[in-house]
Amino acid sequence: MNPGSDIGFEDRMATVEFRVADRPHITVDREVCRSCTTKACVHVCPAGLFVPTADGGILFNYEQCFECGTCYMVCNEAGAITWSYPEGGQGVVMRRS
Amino acid sequence: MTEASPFVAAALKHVAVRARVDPLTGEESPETWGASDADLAALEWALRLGERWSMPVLAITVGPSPAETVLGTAAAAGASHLVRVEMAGDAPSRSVATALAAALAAYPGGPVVVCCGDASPDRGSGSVPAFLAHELGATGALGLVGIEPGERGVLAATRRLDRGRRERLRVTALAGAPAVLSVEAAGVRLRRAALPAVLAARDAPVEVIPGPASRSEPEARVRTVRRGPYRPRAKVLPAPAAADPRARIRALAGGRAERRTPQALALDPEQAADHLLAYLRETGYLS
Amino acid sequence: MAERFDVVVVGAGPAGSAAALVAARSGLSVLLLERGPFPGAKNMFGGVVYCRILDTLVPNWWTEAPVQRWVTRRQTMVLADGQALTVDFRNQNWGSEPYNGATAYRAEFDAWLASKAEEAGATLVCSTTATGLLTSESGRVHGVRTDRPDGEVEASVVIACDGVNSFLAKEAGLYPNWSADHYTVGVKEVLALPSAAIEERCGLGGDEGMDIEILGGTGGVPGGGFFYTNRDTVAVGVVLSVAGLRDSGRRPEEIIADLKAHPAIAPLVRGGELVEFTAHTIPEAGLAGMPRTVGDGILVAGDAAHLCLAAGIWLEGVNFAIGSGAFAAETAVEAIRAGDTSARGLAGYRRRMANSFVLADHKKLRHAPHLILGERAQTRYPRLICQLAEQVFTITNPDPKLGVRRWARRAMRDSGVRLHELAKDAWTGWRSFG
Repeated sequence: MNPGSDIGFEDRMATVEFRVADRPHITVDREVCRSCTTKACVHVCPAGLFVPTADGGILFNYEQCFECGTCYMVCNEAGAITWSYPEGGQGVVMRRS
Repeated sequence: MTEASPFVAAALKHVAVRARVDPLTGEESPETWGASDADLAALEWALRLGERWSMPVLAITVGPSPAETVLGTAAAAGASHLVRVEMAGDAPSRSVATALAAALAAYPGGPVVVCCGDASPDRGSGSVPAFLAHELGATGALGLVGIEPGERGVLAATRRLDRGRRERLRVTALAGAPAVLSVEAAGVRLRRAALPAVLAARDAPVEVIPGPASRSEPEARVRTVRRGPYRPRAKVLPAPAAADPRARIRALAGGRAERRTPQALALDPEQAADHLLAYLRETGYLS
Repeated sequence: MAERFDVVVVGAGPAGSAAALVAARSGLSVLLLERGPFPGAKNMFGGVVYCRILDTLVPNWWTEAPVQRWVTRRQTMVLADGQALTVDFRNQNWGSEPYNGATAYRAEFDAWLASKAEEAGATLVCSTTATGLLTSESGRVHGVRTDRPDGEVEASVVIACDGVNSFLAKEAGLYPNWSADHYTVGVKEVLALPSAAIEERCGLGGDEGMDIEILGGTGGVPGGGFFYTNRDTVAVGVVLSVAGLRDSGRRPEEIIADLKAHPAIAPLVRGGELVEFTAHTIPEAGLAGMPRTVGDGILVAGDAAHLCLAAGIWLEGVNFAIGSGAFAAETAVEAIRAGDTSARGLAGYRRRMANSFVLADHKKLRHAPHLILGERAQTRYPRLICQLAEQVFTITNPDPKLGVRRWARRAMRDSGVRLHELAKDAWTGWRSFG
């Protein structure tokens, strides 16, 4: 058995502390996403925050974000993903990393 | 503000907000220390009441010196008086409430309203608010989800009841006849402290009041005798749908339903574990 | 009215805390801003901190730094399908003073270093995100804006140690050559295991640790892997080129899962319970990805200045962060005393870095990142090395041994390596590492 697959993604993310800010620190321009053919953000995001929708758009969460920045780096549609840091004191808290 | 001005108090508790639980032994090791969300909501309400009624806000905590970090948070957010009652961190709720009440009652001006965090799964202050109300001889309005300040000393509060109902309370409080409010972590978040206030709060003086000298407890009338393991709640299942009452009863009682005869197997531990896992998978408990 | 400090350091990671420490010791007023609830909360790394650079800043740091294990065993491992070739170096000298490398939890290590800065007199304010720079009309930086009410802070010098995404350096226009191709993303699992099991599996004594740098094993996505030991956890992870990951269509945690399933890694992590899963981007392009580090009123240090050394057998970052942070602070002190904090007044920063390992190592290894992340070094060379080893050690009786030359030719053919490419890469490697 593949040892990485013995834990579900939800359980994997539950190992990390996230303090959820009121305001999202990621914004996605869904109109731009509709014209994007690759949607690389969906598979690269280590936290799996981006989900493609049936109508060709992107649905995203900001709550469990590692704040790594991979999403905006791979986004090839300029300006589709706007990304900043969450409000001070909020967001991911790493303890054993 | 004169020294003897009546004040609004926020009673805050320094707790492990997040703990790591060893899955094998159930042992907890605290990770993040601070005030619970309910306590922070209580602080926010205290600040709003203080602003509305032009009264100073006093933040008070009970515990050893690390507990002063929650007072720092309070000072940055706008509390003007900081008090820590020196006491062991694991003191029972009753003695905490006694110490709080003594400190508050003795503080010049006297409390008009004391805001506390409600008992909450994130380690809020448990039974302290109720004990505190008793010790202060105060009105208690506990488990609130919203507060609307009115004229000085008057407020309207909302409390959540069972089955989604709400209760509106009108609370009147005076110095000398205070009210103790406990609030849930709902509706408000603590305001974001301004940067100059955060910087100033680092040097804000904390008055340390010695707690009761002895730890002798009044004899508790409720004692924990035994604590059982966690059991999931019973699930409500829909009634069997059948026109014939006998069929419904049979369905409920499991009569004539397919069932397995119990088995007694003698296996070595590994095989036994495999067998159990296979059974759980088969019956849909494990995927 | 805005608060005022001589120096504002943004980010209480190793670079920021070192900068704040040095500036505060020189008697300047220093504000150290951290957006996490405590220093280290947002930080993650590939496991080993090399603290020689701390000797001058915090003498006898090893007596107080929160270390997990002292690395006494270093492995470089080349992985191919079902095969692994490892260079295993053990050095007991690294297990005693003055030590070489240590594993640590960043939440503990960074908080400790920040506390040293506070002891030196710096003012640490957590839970505060710097959202932008205060800039005069001429473009001169004279402070930062934070996300707190009344959150503007004036400063003679701003030292941006705001990490790999450095929004401040970008805002100051110091990243004209920014490209996603300069970054990798590190994804890591921390697995709990009893310390006795860790010591037995890795052949370690009480406080000794092991660190493995892995080439190959990332499923063809350019990057590498790592494994290291903490006291009662082990960490296993992969570092993946952002562009490579984008083009691969694969999920990061799947790539870790494959690495963990490799027969060379599986016995090390077996039975470990996941206690933390994290990710972070890494500036890995070396000199090519570096921004301008000096502007009018602003210096950039640490990850924000792209100071991470990812050269195959060397993976370092914290030491570069501490070094650059300290140099930035020395420069700021000098400039403030001289009364010139323009880019010209701060130019000494670049010179200080160039005269030390901070820039010298990057100059020396400037071709290494490209070489290491290239397709040949990623897939064909690991295959070549492992196939060569397989042929050498497979006894083919009754056929006689072919000899190294024919084995090599066969391995090259099977792994698709061309001689002229190998020669070219060997030359690049020699120039870089030699």
